[in-house]
Amino acid sequence: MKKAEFWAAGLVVAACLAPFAAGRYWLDVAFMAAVYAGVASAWNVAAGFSGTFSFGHGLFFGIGAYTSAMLFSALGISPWIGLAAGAALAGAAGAAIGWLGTRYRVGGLSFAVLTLAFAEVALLFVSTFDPLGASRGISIAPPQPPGLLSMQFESAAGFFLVALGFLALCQAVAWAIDAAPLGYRYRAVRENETAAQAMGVSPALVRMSAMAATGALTAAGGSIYGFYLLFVEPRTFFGPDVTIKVILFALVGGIGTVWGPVVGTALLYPAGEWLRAVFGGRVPGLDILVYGSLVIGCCLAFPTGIVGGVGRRLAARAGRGGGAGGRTAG
Amino acid sequence: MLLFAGIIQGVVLGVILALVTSGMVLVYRATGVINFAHGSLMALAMYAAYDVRRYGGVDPLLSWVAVAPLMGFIGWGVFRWIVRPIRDRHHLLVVQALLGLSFVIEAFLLMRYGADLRSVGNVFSGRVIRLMGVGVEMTRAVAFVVSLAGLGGLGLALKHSDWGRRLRAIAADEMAAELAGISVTGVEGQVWCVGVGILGLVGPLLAGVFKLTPDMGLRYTILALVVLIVGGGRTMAATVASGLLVGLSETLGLLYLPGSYGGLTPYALLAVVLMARPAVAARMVRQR
Amino acid sequence: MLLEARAIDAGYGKVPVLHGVALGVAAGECVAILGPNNAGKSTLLKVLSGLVGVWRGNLQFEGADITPDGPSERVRRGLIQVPEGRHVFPDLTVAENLIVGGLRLGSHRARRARLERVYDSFKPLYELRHRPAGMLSGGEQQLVAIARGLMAEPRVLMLDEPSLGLSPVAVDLVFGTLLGLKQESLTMIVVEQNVQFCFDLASRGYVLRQGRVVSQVEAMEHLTADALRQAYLG
Repeated sequence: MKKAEFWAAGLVVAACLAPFAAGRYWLDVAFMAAVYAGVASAWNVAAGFSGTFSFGHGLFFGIGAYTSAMLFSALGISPWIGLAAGAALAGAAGAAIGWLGTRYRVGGLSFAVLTLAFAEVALLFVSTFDPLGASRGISIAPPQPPGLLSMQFESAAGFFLVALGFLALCQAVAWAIDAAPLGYRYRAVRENETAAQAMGVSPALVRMSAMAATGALTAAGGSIYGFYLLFVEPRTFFGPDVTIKVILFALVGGIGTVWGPVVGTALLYPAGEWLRAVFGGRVPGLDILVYGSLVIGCCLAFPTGIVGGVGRRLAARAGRGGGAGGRTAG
Repeated sequence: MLLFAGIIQGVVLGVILALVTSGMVLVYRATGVINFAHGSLMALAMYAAYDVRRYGGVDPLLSWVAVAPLMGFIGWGVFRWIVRPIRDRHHLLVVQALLGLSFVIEAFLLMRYGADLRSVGNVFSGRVIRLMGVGVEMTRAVAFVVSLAGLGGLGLALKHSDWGRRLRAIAADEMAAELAGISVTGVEGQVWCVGVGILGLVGPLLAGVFKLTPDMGLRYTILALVVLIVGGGRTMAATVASGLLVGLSETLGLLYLPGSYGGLTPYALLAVVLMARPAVAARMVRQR
Repeated sequence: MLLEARAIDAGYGKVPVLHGVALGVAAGECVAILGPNNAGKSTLLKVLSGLVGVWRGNLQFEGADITPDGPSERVRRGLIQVPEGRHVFPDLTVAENLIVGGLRLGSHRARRARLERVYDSFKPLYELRHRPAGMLSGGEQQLVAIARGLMAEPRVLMLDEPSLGLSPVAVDLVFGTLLGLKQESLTMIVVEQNVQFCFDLASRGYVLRQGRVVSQVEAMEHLTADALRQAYLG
């Protein structure tokens, strides 16, 4: 175990450093991968830990991007404050959806469809609502002067570092929830809502807190991506693409594990970009074709996720430590 | 008068949507899987009609004879090689694999046909028929009639044929069905074949109604999902009712709400139905 | 022997349940499978009906090897299991439940004739034929399950806990029905916790414990209370 941890840490450091050596293109890829990994991890906090599935993370991603972009463009408020405001707004939206879901007993897959409905409504609304730029989107004038304070950098390296910071925050939240007593409440609701309720765990609180956390983190990712592009537009941010991607990454990496979503993203996102670079230019669509086949292949080959499969094997070796801990914390 | 015209248009659209959704409903009932590639498979069927028209000169109103069996075979293959191997795992895994399939289809269509809008004409193109004084495109009217007939046929088959009884039996209790001598995977394969095969019937018809783009699939998947959930995903009658609700809400929404806010109404309807009908929710949680 | 199991090993996933189980049933007799909870009784029935695969050993039915056959092939041969509890199709009407049971009878006419005969012996079900099976009482549902099994013209009828969870009145109803079937010399295998039920119905019995046949009871009527306690408690 110790040796495995050592190697894992080494791999993480190498993965963080490699893009700096690989040049501008790969730094951009690494930036996006870090943002997606963070959002995938945030999605996993709700879906993987507490069984609260969302197909509508575009809602949060879009709220984050649009809030910070509007606050900066209209009032000149710092992107960081905009990021915090967007996160607060998305967190509140998440909690509200979580509350609605529990109040009206919309669970499982239908809850996911409910989130999808909200995201689609938001997408259509923003695409039509003129003060938010409708379907044209909003261009952001670059904040001056460049630097960490204005979230603007001359090199891609700066953005990559910000995205790494975001990813670290997501991982810290995921790790903390997983390890804390709260994590047992989450798992109790995921495994059996009625039994959890009988033990005094409130499903409403679990769903609301999970959706608030996942919403706020996802929104932060959206803000960072918005200021990286300096342009926000309904389909990119509120559309279903982000959600589809992060669910895929989390599933392939291992849903319900702390590191699964990151591993899944680190493998799949660069692979997709590489495919696009190699095939996309020559035959439009070929890269998506290969990528889609890769998705199907991954689902068939790793039905429990990469980290999930490996983790189970490790846990089996380590004995039943987790079960005993569950009893003391329950 | 405007309202009346909107209602007629909404009813026509709603019934067509109901037939598009019926395949998804059958598949969901028999195998508990929501086919997230449904819309993309329909796009595939529509482009197939385009090819048959272009290279064979066959009218889309006839080409379904060839396209429907082809789609049926594809549906069976999707079940056999993608759904069946992983259906006992996490329920999102099947969703994801089917989304992957819709990427593949979309990419294939983009590669083969390019990103341009296309439409497929048929003998009725350009003609308008008056339904109770309201002008309706002839192709739409034909699709409406075919949809009504198709839905009626499916409803009867589900209720009164041995095939329908088998389907309902495995939907209710797989083990008991097995013990009654029903080959469960056999029936499930047939249901996928029929459910996707229906798209081979509607796709060519709708190719004259809706514009074709390679990325249209996901939108129709979501629309069908809305119809499925509003209707509860069980009977054909409920699916028709829900198709009508969605069709009417979209048409009237577009008519009376400013800009394109009307597109919002089906989703608002979905959110309301999900929260007002916990029974549907409970059923969906219990699914395998 | 009509149905014979030889040295069967079987289980779920990697967990073994049955170890070297052997059993034989002759035409026209009613055999009980006894034993404490978790002895593997239900698993044994599932092995016979094909729901659970055999790891080792083989199954003979009317002289043919049926080991590799799935449930639907065995149903076609007339080896019918009535599942435990109330596994009726709740949304289907009583009549539809029975029709599904008779799907293996090819022609419509054969099915119609069979349906009439089953209604003859299950009068209360005829009255309820248009009701969804899920709306019936526990005892009525159990009758539907049995009648559905009979629709397939079974050569052997296997019943898993037919009295489980039923009221005393309903137990009498089900019991009376099964006794009638015995008098028509239908071959039956019954797994049942209700000891009195087995006593009065079965002529022979096998006692299972921890997945093994620990003893055979050649004449149920001679089984003493002590021997029975022995069988259940070990």
